[in-house]
Amino acid sequence: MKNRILRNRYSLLLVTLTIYMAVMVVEGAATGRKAQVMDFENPFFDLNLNNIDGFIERNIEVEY
Amino acid sequence: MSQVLDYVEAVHPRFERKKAEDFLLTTDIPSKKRVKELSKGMVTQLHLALVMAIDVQLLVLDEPTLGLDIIYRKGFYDRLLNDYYDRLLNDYYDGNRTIIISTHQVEEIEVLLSHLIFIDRGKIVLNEMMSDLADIYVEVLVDADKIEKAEALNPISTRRILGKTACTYESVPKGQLEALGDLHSPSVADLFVAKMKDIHHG
Amino acid sequence: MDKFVLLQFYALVKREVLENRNLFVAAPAVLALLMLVAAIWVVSFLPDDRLVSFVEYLGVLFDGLSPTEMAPFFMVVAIPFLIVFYVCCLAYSLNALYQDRRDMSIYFWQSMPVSNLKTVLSKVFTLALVAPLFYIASIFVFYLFAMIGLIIFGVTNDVDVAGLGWMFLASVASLFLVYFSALSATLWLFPTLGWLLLFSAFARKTPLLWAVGAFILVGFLEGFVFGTQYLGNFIQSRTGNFNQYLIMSFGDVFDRLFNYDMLFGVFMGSILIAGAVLMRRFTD
Repeated sequence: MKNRILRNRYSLLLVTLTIYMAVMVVEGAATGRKAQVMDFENPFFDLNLNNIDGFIERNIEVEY
Repeated sequence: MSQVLDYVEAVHPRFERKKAEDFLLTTDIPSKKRVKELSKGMVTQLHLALVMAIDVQLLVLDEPTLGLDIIYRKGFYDRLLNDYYDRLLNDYYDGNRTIIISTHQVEEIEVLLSHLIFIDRGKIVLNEMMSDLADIYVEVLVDADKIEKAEALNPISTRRILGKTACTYESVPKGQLEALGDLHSPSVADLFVAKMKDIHHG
Repeated sequence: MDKFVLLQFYALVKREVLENRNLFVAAPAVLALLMLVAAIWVVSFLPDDRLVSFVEYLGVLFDGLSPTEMAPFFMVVAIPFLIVFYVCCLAYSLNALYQDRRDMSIYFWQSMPVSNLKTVLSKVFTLALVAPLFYIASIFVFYLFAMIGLIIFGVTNDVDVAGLGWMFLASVASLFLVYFSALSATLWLFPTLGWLLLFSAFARKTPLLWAVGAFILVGFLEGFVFGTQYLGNFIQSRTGNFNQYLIMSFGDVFDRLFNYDMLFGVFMGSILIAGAVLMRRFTD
């Protein structure tokens, strides 16, 4: 089996990608992976330099 | 270049930097150059200098001098042999070092060898000590009137050279061959050709 | 751990840095220089009195805040560096296992007692943990020069510069956030880096073409065979928003590095990297 997989670069590539896709599909089905962008909360992107004091007060309070 | 030496020193436990530097002095590689700027031949010389400075019990060289000029090639094998015997005589080592050289440039190395192995398509077709070869293989420059007798003794190969016929024999007593013409030991290259002919046609 | 093993690994990492100086050292240094020049150029257009009030404002802006509370504000400066680092990760991965086959130096590297696994791991380690240090060094030099410039200006214009020292500490604290962001970027990119490393080891020519072509083909085959689009979904979820590659707060570091999606991505990337390690035996 090992010799078959490692016979040449093409067989190795095929096996690697097959394993990769098998795991991908199983995980996708199990978790219901959808085409959405992972969104991480990032309050600093609300930064407005003209109102930096208010921004600092708002966000430092929220954090602490 | 010093970065390469640093690297090998760090990754190989049995690398002797001083030895490598001495070997490098015998090459025509300028010490301050970058490896990228070296010619192919110089890169091979660099690699060989590094490898030869590593103390190992088995060293395998596969076509080590391919593409290098004759001056370097001759010097390389001299250095290899000298280094091998230096280490053998040194009390620190137990003398069990082996160097396996795979090459098509047979003439260069036949004087170095202790053993000779011919491989044909993955099969070993000859495996003898160099000192035994002269007893087993004989090439006869056959006189013109004795060709029939020569062929009757089943040479492993026959070739024409300078107007004469040369027959190579395997394990035929010298006594039987002396009458046919001049005897000598075939060179390793001629022996190789003779053996291959024998296997494929005989 | 065995001292020799550590020294060996150090030599491998050092090799990666020396061979990729352009990506790791020169790129961020040049960017820092360009940003410094651009900053000086912009400032030269502002009238002196505006500059004086700006420097005064900076000195008191962060009053009462600790350096770690101030640090996130400096991430804005780091964003261009992180973008360059992101591109550098992709370029490095595509080339890492291809270049030494192309120039045939692989025969030298493989004649040393260093396994293919160690070789590939040292490359990943260098990219994820060592390369960001050079980026941080460049950002630090940028902050240093900016600070010196502001202090000189402040002193010559009779502005209180004590607050600037406090701000400098915050900028240095932000470098830790930059480091974690770079690490998070490498780990979040792991499936892509693994894919590029695999094709870097596989391709005889044009690894980029192979990597992209294979991605399109595999995606198409997935749809054809399973009727699903999980590969596309997976990659899309990681490339739509640059925010994913930034950690803006120290409190977020652990969650961002150890959540399920991150760990799953690292696992998937590892499958491809394992393939790349095995692929190294094909040296032509």
